[in-house]
Amino acid sequence: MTKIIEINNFSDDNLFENLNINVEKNKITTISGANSCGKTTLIRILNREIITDSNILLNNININDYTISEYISLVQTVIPFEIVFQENTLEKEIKNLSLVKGLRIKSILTKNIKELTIKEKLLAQVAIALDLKPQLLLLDNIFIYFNEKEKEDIFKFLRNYQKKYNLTVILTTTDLKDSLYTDYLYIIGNKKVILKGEPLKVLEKDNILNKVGLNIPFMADLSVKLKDYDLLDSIILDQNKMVDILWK
Amino acid sequence: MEIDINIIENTFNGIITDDEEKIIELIKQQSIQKIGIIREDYLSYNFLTKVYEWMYYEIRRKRLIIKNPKKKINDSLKIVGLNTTYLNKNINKLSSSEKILITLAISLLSNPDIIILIDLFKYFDKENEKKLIILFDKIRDKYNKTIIFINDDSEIMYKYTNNLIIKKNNLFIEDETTKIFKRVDFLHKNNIKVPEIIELTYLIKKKKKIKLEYHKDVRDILKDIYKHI
Repeated sequence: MTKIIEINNFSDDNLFENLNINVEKNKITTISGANSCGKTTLIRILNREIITDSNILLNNININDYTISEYISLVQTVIPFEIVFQENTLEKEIKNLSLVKGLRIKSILTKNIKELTIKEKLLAQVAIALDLKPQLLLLDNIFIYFNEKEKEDIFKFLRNYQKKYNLTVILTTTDLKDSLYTDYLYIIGNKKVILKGEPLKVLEKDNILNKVGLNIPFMADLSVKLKDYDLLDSIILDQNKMVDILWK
Repeated sequence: MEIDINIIENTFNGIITDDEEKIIELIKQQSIQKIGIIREDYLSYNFLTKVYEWMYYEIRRKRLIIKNPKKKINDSLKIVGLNTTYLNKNINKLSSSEKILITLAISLLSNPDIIILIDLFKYFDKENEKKLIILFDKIRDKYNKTIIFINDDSEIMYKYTNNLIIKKNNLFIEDETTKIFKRVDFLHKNNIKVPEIIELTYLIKKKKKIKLEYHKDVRDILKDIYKHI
């Protein structure tokens, strides 16, 4: 696997102790953990808003060794509402609209940015970030603002964009349901990574997730419990499928 | 359409709506009590740095007449489970859930009778969600406040509210939350999301003709499924 981000034994006084995270190129990776576990701080570190002298690598080079303009061209970050728009409409902000076709922003392109709703502003932030064709997109807890259908649409768009332009995405969330749209999941607890792997595999570790204080998606939770009773072999997210297996 | 919003005191009221401003307006019109609204206000206050600046700013903005603001601020923080060290913290360094608790403390400064919480659970993990509910229990019982959650998330509404109003897609209904969510066909017809645990129970009943009870907890449906296999 080709790594785009390598965080090795990263420690900081309060939040992390020997944190190890390796993010594979062209994948969507979720970083989850309870409130105040340091998810946003980690995003700010990767965005170089918080400078550390630790050995965090982007494409095998220490993130501090890039110039600011080099770094901006490679890494873009969306932290809800932390953006200063340069123009008064999205149409003027985005140079290459064809890149973000499919993000459902057509109806807001000419709207005054000040009048956008929270969801629209977030979509605008994502569009502006992707306009620079970064290699890595960092999304800090943006999905809490969208319903399931809207999330599905955004992930579909991200997958398409990824195929065309080789994009890696790291997103943070407390809602493990979001991880089901992604390729890999890290759970942070007690200052370090306590679980990692494919999301469905990680969700099987219900005891650990409960201890950390995360909600396990209902169907995953029920599947794991039915598995304990030997009624299922794996996690089943589709309700129809589960009913048919249980009552063959 | 004229709508009467019946808010029940001493219980958790839930409202699922596609027009929260209209609903809030109706509540304001139909109630003589003082209302406190909690939402993501802090997002627009980029010019404030510390928590104490934020709280004093709100006192001035809302023109609250408070005899001893310092004591009132400390008391409000205490009610929401935060200590006074938070006053000197940088707003940008607070987690989302901490910001919500500060917003709640700010709302308490004006002694509202009704507290409306708009879409706030999404910021909290399971543990903090539970703590928040315990906190609202305390605020409701000890300080005699009426609590209203406005939220689009059926799961949250089913889990935590006793009385529910749905005002969405030209539909208006109000009843006990459990009774409303058991009307699965009706909710489907009206494009209202049904909690997953109810949806699964309904599917088992319909597809396999098995008489499962409607539950709230995953462990209870598990026992019920086990019994019927």
